Amino acid sequence: MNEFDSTNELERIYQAAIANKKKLNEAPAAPAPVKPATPTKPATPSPSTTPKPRDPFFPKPGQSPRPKAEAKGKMEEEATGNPALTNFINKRAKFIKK
Amino acid sequence: MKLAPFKVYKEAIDTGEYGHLFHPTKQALYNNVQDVEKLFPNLGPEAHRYIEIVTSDSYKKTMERIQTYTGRSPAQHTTGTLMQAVMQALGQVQQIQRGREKELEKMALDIVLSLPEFKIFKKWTAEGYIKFDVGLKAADLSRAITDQEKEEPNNENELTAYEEADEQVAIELTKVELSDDALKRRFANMLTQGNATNKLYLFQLANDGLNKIDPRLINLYGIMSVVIQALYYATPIMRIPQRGGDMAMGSAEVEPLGNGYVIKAYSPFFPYLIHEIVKGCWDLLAVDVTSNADLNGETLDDEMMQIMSGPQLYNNLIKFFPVKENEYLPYVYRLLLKEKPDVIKEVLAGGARAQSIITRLLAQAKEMIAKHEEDLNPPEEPLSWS
Repeated sequence: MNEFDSTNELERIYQAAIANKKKLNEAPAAPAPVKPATPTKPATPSPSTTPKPRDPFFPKPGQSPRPKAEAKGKMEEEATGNPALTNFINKRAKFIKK
Repeated sequence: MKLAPFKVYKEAIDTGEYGHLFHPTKQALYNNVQDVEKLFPNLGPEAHRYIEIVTSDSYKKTMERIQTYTGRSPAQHTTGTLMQAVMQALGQVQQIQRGREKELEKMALDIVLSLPEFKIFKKWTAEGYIKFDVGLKAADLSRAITDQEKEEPNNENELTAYEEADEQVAIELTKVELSDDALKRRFANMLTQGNATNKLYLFQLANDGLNKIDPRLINLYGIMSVVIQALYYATPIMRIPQRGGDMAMGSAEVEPLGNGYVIKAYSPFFPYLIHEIVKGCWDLLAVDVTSNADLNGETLDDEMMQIMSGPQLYNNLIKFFPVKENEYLPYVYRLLLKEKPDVIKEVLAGGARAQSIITRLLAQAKEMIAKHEEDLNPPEEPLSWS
């Protein structure tokens, strides 16, 4: 399709839209619906959008009860930047025995 | 200079008639359990310590079961005969179970979830909070650590005898007080292991199904369960090697998944698969008792003492619980873990005070459940005319 064809196509869509709009404007106004005197329930939010309350007994998410093996190096890492503390912790780590 | 011994071992465990199946090195463990004992009631200077009493009772119960399942008095058994019996049973069991894995995995999970105590897990599964990954296969302990790994980051700095002595002094001087949460975690671990060990014999609930597979299975499961439990007491203390998974009977792990958890339970043997499912469920109940950082010290070696002492500890706790209310046990347990250690101590000490605490927590649990159910299904508002 060349540029000329494309412009024609846009023009056709535009004209069709105007014609449709005219039709809608010309349509006679519908009579206002009579409100029936029937009991109604208070509006409730859609169940799909309301988050369910969490079970208060269910444990906090994201806990990991089995430590990874590499966790044992943690003490030394935390001491970085304080030589006195590093020395103390290295010495203390040697003493950690059951 | 010869160093003076730092510990004096004393006879503390009451082994009853069959003391020969409780190894002295295992009994000696109970002379050095001060940190664990902070959670247990003080029974007075003349009485045994609480932990020794529950351990003695657990041991005696195991001895009774030896008679039931092996058909021979514990007096006729040695560690050697027990080893022989269990090796034979394990071989036969593996052969019979081959090709029936899926059937047995389903049976194991169904048995556990059919108990009133596990109704909450059935509910959480239906509501999408938890998932089970159950396998009649080898344990997966790839994420666990052993004492050996904890203690020996490298072998270059092996301690000399003098350093060993200094180490003992240093431990005493620099002993860090365990936090309330860490104490509760130890209590929870012991109770979980105890509960799971007591449930090793649940395979009896599947008699019909197991008989259809092979009528020898029930007796073989009985022998392997009781003998393995007895061997925890009968064998000397051995350090679990770094690749401890190879010798493990099973594994249970609770892994976070989104806003919930997956309970992973594996064992190549049906009674231990049930045991691991129970352990995983109760591990979940205590998963948020301490922070992840506090959990770093837990090792596979710690499980030994939990298995030797936990069964009676669990029995002591549930005896205050009305049988018809068993489905509320996990709720009350979670509420109890939120109380101060002194309250836990009072429950374990027993008597009217313990009963009143359990009754209070049970009422609190029921109230919270009712409130939650009301929040989930609010009562319909009356119709209004407009």
